[in-house]
Amino acid sequence: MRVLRNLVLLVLILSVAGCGAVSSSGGTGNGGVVTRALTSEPATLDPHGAAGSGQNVILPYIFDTLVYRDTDNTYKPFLAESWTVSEDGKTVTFKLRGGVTFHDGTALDAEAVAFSLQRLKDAGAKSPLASGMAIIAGIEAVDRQTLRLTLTSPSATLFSTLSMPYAGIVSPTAVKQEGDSFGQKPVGSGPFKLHEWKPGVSITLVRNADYKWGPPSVKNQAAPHIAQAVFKVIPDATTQLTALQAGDVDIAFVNQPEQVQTLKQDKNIQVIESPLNSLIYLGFNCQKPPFDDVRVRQALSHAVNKAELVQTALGGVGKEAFAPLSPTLPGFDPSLKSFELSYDPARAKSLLAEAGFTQAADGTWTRGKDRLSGLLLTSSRAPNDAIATILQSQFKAIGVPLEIRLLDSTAAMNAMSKGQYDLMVWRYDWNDADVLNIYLGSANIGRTNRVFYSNKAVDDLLNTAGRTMDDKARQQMYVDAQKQIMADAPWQPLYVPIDYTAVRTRIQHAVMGPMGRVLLNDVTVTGK
Amino acid sequence: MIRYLLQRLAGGIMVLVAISLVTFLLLEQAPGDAAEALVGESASAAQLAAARHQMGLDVPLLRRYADFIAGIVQGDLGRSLVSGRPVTTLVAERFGATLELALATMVLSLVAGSAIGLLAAAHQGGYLDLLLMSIATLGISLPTFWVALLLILTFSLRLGWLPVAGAGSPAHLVLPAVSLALPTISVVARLMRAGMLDVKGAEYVRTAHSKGLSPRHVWQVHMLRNGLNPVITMLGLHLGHLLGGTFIVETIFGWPGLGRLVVQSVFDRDYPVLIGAVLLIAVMYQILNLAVDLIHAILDPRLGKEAL
Repeated sequence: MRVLRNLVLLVLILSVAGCGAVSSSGGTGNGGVVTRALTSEPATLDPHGAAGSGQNVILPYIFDTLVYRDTDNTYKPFLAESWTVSEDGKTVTFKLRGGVTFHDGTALDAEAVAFSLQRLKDAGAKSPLASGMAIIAGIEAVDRQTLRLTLTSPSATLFSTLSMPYAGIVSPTAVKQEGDSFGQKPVGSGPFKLHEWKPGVSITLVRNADYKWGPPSVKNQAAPHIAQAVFKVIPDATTQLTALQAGDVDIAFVNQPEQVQTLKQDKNIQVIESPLNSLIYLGFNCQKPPFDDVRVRQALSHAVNKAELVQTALGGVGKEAFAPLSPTLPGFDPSLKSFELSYDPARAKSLLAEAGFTQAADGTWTRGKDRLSGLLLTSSRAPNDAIATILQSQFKAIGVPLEIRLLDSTAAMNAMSKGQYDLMVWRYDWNDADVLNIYLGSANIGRTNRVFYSNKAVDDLLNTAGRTMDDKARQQMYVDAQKQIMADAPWQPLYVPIDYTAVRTRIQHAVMGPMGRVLLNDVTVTGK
Repeated sequence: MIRYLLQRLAGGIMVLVAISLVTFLLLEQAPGDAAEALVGESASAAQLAAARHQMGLDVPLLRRYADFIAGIVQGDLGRSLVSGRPVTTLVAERFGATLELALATMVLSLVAGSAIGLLAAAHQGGYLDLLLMSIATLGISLPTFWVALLLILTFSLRLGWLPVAGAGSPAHLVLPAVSLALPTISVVARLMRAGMLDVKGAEYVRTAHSKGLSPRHVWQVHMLRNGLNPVITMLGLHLGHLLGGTFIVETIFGWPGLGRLVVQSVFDRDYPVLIGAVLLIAVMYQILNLAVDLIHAILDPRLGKEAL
C-alpha cells in the first residue's frame, strides 16, 4: 500500500516537473499534460449505455462519430467521408474513410460501424438517443467502406443523432471481450485512449499516436500534441475555481456569474464563451384553470421584466430571450422579436381585466370566488432559486402572489409531468430545432410536454418540419410554428444562458467545439 | 462473553434488516424513480416504460425488496441501476478512501486533542489554560465547510504547499483531515481536561502521590487511564459518523469517499447502491459500538464485569 502510494506520488511529481516524462510513445507529440476539472464523475464511459453528467465531456476524446457537428450547426465529414440521401429521403448511404483503426488495432470498417449502431439501437431506452435511433429500420454494411441506413420516414434529425457523443463508434472486438465492463475499459478510435481510471478521483487519457482522422474544424488532424488529458473530479464549484487559480487544473467550466468576474481578473486565465443550444423559460400549466385561458398566460408573460431578471439574478451573464428557439438553433429568426410579449405591466392588467378578473383593494385579482395566484416549481439548482425569487417579486408588482417550490431535478420533472404546478422555470439543452416538438408537441403531453400545450396547427408544422430535408423550407416551418407558439404563450422565453470555459494561458490553441466541448487536437502547453 | 457476543450479533442483524427496509421504503417514497432519473427529461412515455422494464422497476415493491434481501443472504448486493456495475465493487472502491480519511482524522484528534487537554489541565486556571480552552471553543464553533475553504485558500492558493483537491498522495490527505479533525480536537481537549481534573483530587491519586511516585508517573499511569474513558466513547461514536462518509468535506476536497456515492445514489434513485452503502455504514457502527464497549472493559475492569 505504502509502496503504491509512493509510486503514485513519484508519478505525480514527474508529471508536474517534467511534462512528458510520462510515456508519449511514437509520433512527434511534444508532450505535456492538460487537466480539466469535472463536476461529476461518469458512471460509465460506454457511449451506448446510460447517459450521465460528465460522460459527454469525455466521450468525444475517446470515440469518433460518423459525422461531425460544427459550431454553426452544419454537419461535416468525420468517419464518413461523404454521404448520399435517396430521392424519397428514406435511404442514406455513407462512404467511410479508409485506414481507420480502433485503439486495440481492430479495423474501423462498415461492419464495425454497423455493429456499433445496432448496439446503440439495442441499448433502447437507456440511451438518450433512443427516439432518434428508433427511425432507423435497417443498418447494412454494403461493402468494407459503404454503410447503408434505411429509415422508416425521412428524418431531418438523423445527422444530429449520429453526431452526438452517445453515437460514438466502439470497437466490436473490445465489446465482445470486455462484455459488461466495456464501460470501464472503453475502446474507440478517438484522439485519446483511456489510460487509468481512479474511481472518484480522476480519469487519465493518453494520446493515440496512430490518430490521423481529426474533424475538419481543427488544424491538426493527426495525433494530439499533448501526451495526456486528465479529468479530475472536483464536485464543488468553488474548489474548482481555486484549483484553476492554483494551477492544479487547466480547464474548468464556469456557470456562476460571480466566478466569471473573479476569473476575468486573473491574468493567467482566459475566459472563453461557450456556445450552448440552451434556453431558460417560464412555462405555464396550460390545462389548469385559470392558466388554460390564453389571456391569463399572455398577461403574466407581460409581467416579466427580463432585463431586470438577467441583471439581478445572473449579474448580467445571460442574454434576454424572446423566441422559443435558442439563437444558435436553425429556425431561430431575429424578426420574431416583434411577436414577443414584452414587459408591459399596464397591458398585463388590462388582459387580466379582459379575462374577467377584477382587482381588489389589496391589489390581488379575483374572478368569481377564485383569487389569482400560482405555484412556481423549479429545480433547486442555481440560479433557478434566484430567478424564481425575482419572478415572484415581479408578479407581486401586478398583484399576483406566487409560492415557490424547489425540488431536486428528478422530483421536479416527476411533479411537472403530473401537472402538479401552475408555473415552472426550466431549461432545455438540445441541439436541434426538433426540441419544440419534444417539449410542445401534443403527442408528448404528460411526458416531455410538461406544459400540456396543444395546438393542431403547431403540431402539423413541427411534424412536417421533422421530416423535411430541405434546410430552408424546414427553417421557415419553425419560424411559423414559433409565431403561433408565442401568441399562445405556453412559454415565456426568459434568457439564453452564457456559459464559460476558463482556460489557463499556458494552454494554447484550444478550440471550442459544439456544446461547450474543448477540442484538444491542436493544443500545446508551455510550462506552468 | 461468547453468549454476550452472540446476543449482540443477533441484535445487530435485526437492526440491519430494519435499516434496509426503511432505506428502501424512504427512497420509494421520493418522487421519481431510477428510470426517470436515468432517461432524462426528453424521453417519451414509451421510452420511460421501456427503461422501467429494463431496470426491473415494474416488479411490485415487496417482491423487489424480497429479491434484494434474498440476494444479500447469498452475498450478492446486486448491481447499480445506472452503471450496471456490482454494488460490492462500487462500495469497496470508496470505502478505502473513507477509511483512510477517518483514521487520519481520528489519530489527529486523539493526539492533538489529548495533548491540548493535558496541557490545559496541568495549567488549570492559568493563562495557557484560558488560551487553549478559548481556541477549543472556537474550533467547535467554526463551520467545517468554511474552515475547509479557508485552508484551501491559505495552504493551496496563497502558499502553494498542498494540492487543492483530489486523492492519491499523503499530501492530499492533510487538508481534509485537518478540516474534519478541528472540531473533534476541540471536543477531545475539553473532555480530556475535564476528565483529568475530575480525578486529580481522587483518593487513589493522593495515595499514588503519597507513595512517592513521580508526578509524571501518576499523570501517565493513574490519571490518564481514567481521563481517557469519555474520550474513547466520544471518538468511537464519532468514528462511526466519519465512516459513514463526510459528504461536505468530500465534495469540497474532491475526496473519493462513501458520502459522495451515497448522495449521488439518492439523486439517481439507485436503490441497490444506496442500500449497499447504508448497510456497510450500519455494520461499521455496530462493530464500533461493540469495540468501544470492549475497550472500556479493558480500561476499567469494574465496568467490564457489569457490561459483559
